[in-house]
Amino acid sequence: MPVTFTSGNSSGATITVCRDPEADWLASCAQTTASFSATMNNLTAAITTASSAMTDFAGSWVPDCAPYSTASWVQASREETERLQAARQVADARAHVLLLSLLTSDQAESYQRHGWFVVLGSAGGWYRIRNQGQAGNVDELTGDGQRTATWCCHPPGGLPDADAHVAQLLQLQADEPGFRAAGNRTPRLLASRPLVTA
Amino acid sequence: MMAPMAETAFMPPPGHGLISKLTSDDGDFRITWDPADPEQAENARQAFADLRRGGYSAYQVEGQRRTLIREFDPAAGAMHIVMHRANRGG
Repeated sequence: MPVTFTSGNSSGATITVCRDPEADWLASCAQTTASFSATMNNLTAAITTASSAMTDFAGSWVPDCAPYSTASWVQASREETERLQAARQVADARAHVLLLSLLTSDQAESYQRHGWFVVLGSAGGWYRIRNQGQAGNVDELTGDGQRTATWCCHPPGGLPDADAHVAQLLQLQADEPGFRAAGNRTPRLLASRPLVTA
Repeated sequence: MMAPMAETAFMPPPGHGLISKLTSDDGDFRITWDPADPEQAENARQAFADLRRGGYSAYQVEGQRRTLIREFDPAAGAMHIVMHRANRGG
């Protein structure tokens, strides 16, 4: 129902305004709805852009299907882990074969049986490479097999352990001074473990 | 833990050279070349040079004789070269 509002101005004239509150309310609602709709459109566009950017950033690793399923993500993650583990086993096996092909028969037997082999360096030093990781796994020995120090010197990049042992073996045999210049040496007490026998 | 013995040592075709590049993905990535084929020898030389520029060390393996090398010599014929990123202290 229209309502009449009356007010006066400075000249004394009376202004009468006839307004319908229901129409005002509807107009207000329409304006609010339009504003809300525009905001939502902008928000949707922003989310779409961000989602696309996230997918591009993460590549195929991030499932881009909807609705999002935690179970399927966990399954995909597990399958990816298994695939990587299988690939790593193949890499480890190839590295192991390469290492054995570079060792003498005595070194290879010692590596397989005891988990270490002894190397004569190009400058005359004796070293023992242990199959216990690739950091700090090289022992410096005296001529009678006593450990005097441990060396940490290996290639970066997460190679299979046997590949790192190949790198240690080759540098010691071809460039012992270079190995000693690049590595970190930790002195050890003598007579800790007699290992080398004639 | 000892890795399973999945294969025997890789041997290139007779008379061919071999570069074994140590990698975390494959164990070793192999490049073979026929020294009598100039194109293959050039490809091997280029791969060697690229790896050297990338900080790789190279060792020529002849039986139990190992030699640190810095240049690839196509005229040297078939040889086995092992390349890996340079050792460093941890």
